[in-house]
Amino acid sequence: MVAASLRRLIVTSAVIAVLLCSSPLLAADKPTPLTRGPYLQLGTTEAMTIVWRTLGPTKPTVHYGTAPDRLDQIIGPAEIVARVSAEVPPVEQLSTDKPLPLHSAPTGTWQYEAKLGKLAVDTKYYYAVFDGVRKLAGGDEEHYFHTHPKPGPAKPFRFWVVGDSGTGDDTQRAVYDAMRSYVKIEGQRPLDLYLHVGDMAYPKGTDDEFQRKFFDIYQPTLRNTVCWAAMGNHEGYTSKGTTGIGPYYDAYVCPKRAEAGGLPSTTEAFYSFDYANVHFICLDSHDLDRSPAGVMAMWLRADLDRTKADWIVAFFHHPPYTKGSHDSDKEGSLIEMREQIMPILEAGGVDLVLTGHSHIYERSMLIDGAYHTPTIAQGVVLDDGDGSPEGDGPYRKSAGIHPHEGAVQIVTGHGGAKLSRKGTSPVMKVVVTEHGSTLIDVDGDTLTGTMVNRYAVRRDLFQIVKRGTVTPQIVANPRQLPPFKLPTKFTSVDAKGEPVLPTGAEPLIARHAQWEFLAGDHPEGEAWKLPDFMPAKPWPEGQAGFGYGDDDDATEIKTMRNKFSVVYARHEFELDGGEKEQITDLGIAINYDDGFIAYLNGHEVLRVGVAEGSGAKAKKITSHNPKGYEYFSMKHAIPYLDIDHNVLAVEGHNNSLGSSDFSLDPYLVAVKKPGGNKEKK
Amino acid sequence: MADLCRQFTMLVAAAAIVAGDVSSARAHESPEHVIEVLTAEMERTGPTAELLYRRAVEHRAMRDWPAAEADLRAATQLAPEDASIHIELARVLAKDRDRAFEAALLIDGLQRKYSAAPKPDFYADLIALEGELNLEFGAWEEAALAFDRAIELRPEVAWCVQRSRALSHLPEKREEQLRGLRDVYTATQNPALLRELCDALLKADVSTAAEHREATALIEAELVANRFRSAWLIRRAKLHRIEGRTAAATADLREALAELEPRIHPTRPDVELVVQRGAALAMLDEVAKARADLRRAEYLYAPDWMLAPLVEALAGRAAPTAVSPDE
Ligand SMILES: [Fe+2]
Repeated sequence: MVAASLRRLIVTSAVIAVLLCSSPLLAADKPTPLTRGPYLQLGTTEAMTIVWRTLGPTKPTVHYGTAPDRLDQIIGPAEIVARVSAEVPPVEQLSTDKPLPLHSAPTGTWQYEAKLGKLAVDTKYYYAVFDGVRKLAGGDEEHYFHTHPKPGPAKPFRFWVVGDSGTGDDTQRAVYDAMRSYVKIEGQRPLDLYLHVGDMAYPKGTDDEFQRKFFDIYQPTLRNTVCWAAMGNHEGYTSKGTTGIGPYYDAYVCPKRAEAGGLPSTTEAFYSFDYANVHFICLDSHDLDRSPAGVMAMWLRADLDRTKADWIVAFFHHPPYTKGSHDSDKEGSLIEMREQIMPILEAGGVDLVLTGHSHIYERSMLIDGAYHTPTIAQGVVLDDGDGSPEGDGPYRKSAGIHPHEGAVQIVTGHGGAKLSRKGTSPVMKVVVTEHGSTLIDVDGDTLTGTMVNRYAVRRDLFQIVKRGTVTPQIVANPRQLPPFKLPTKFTSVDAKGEPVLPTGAEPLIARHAQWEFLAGDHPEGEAWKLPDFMPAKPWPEGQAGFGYGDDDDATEIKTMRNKFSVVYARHEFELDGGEKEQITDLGIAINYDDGFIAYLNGHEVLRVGVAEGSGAKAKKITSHNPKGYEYFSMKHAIPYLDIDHNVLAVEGHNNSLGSSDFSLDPYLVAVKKPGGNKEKK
Repeated sequence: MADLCRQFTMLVAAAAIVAGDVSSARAHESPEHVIEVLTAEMERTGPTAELLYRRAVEHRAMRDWPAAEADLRAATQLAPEDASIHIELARVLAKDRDRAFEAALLIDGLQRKYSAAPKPDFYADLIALEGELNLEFGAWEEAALAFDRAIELRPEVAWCVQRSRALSHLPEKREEQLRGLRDVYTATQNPALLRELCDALLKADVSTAAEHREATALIEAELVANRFRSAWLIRRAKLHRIEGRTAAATADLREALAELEPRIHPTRPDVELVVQRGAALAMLDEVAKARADLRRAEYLYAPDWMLAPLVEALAGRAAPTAVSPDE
């Protein structure tokens, strides 16, 4: 008897405790229960979904209106979808009917999805989320959204594309910050949309990884810009396209019923939507049937047949063309996207294809019909120029949507994960092995693509202009990028300690030249590898080589032993007009002890004896006893040469602090075409 | 069969914990690299089921089916209880027509093993896999039954479409086929089902006048809404033919062909467009060209159901002897 009434008392107190917790009286004492968001999803011309999570149940409410201080419209718990973690403390279950479950959110997590409807088209709204009367977030200049403009008419807008970003580390942040500072530069515009091409939460796309490696990092953008996502293979470890279940599907609210345009796909795994005069198509290249007979292909054909937009942009994870960290000639999903899905997209008039997976930036020429395996450039290039308004001029297509007039392919899987490159895809025009992301602007009949690296420097620019009638023509012998070779391990040194240089090699940086160097400290960031580096405190200059302990150093660094193990050196050099085109071979001759990494204009071009990391984070340095200068060919680095202003940066590593000696003595040589007869381009 | 509308409405509500995946996070390296690393690891530590499974996944990514199979077989030896390995093996075997019987045996065994409630999430996939194998070998009744069971566990558009294809071979099940398609299409508005429904409604010699009216309404709506219209022009032409409007049919077919021509890539076109062109040509009695398109579509591995409109249009039209195929 006593026990029963006691139990009743405990339950009653618990209920009261829950009620009190959401009361404004106690609110000030309590930390915010907000654990994710608020962020935007599934924007349409007349609706926006606002998603957020709290630890423990709340009385979810959204206030919104057209000014931050006039949030005069409200939707409350009755209209807001609640979802709850699989495990819920028993007392919390009292407060609501069975909500939908979350896949693997932390115990006691509540997710709220508020669809604000009946909004005005193309209008800016501000919002705030509440627990009853207690404000959790918003009501300021940062929490806003724009409803989509009417589909069809042109309206200038910009979207950001990032891929393979989900490391949660400084690189991911640097790429994000670089984009944000770039769009604040005068004449630039803020983001209207955000596309993520997959691999957003390494390594397994768990709920926790999503939180730390996606939401925590991108929140300043997510609260005012919808992120439209495509699933990557890493999300595939925990989320399944077939069932639509997992942390990925908990994070995103994607259209299944053509809520934002296009045709209903009946799944969040692939979908389409309209924004102004652009039709966006997202595919699941990871875990669904990619065959031309599969339901995704059937839906895609019908969706392409239907759209009346001026532009078609497709995005998915696995790139049809890449030689970055993945090879599209060898891997199944990439081959299938190229052989089976690209013919459908191009017959439907696609203009731009955005992918990731391969950790690199690769941007193609204007191509069509490149379905062959292995990929070849012959017969598929419609314009072999660089597409740049500052170079060969924009790519041209007819106004409206027409089949097989060419598309540009962008692999933008350089948003955070470790970069690598296997070669050069024959259809690519620009390959940049740097971290960064892509911005796309659409303004009426002109689409502009910009790649911004992690230092907020623009590294690629191209345009597609759709105007009048253009008859596509295959370029007979398209100009291609030079073949890429992995840095060769082959070195040569003769008996006298002189390097065996290729015939005709001349120095670009002389032996024992004056270098800027940094010893006893690490440079901040990566800017020291780039031309025009201006450190807060100028670096000293000294004659190469640098080191101690073996009587071979022009600039002796006496303080090094037992104190530090890295020395940084950089040397800027100029090329004459037309000189770059004449260079047929490039290499470094170096006396080194024990390892080094060389960068040409910011690109890592050679790594010897340093197995992992760089700078302060370098690991596993192999001991090396120099026998003099060794020569390393860097032919693969020729494309990285700038036509005039260049810098070679080298970091030298000792394999232990106490090592008895250290040497870093590089110089740079090139072989040029004989006679100096300049080739006309 | 359970009410499909209800099943689809509940799709959002479906709750299941996805079966844990044992493959590791290494995949942001390339498959070759991961294979190398895993091989080295196994040389050091000896093979484990997990390492073998992970390597098999990479072999599969490289389309090296025999290597994937070998690793999976070895993994099943080490971890005979791990269902994910067996399912992966069944999938790999099913890639090869000659191995389908082995796949079927394996799937059957797995179904028996996991049939007790609560059924794991992958159970629906096992049943659908059985359906796919049956469909492949023309066991229509068994295929339809398997898809029924799979859909009941988890409604998927692909399985509804495949169920309909199985039923289309069984004249006595026509009503059931149409009802299923109408229900799911009403619930989802999914274009894959619309196409399936229209084709089912337009079966020569079988369709009723009411079915023609139903198809007409659907086709006309698509012709108004779409920019590329060839698929629907050909369907309308078929309807015109059935109802005796030859000139109208010819006009639609000519329009469809004009639209198709620039869309069909000369070396490797989308197979669907080739089938459409072949069907239009066959209906215009350009039999040689239509046959060339049939061969082209077969060469592009179009499955039988995809070829059906073209094969049907060619049926009864004798190949002209004097004309050489245009390839
Ligand atoms: Fe990936």
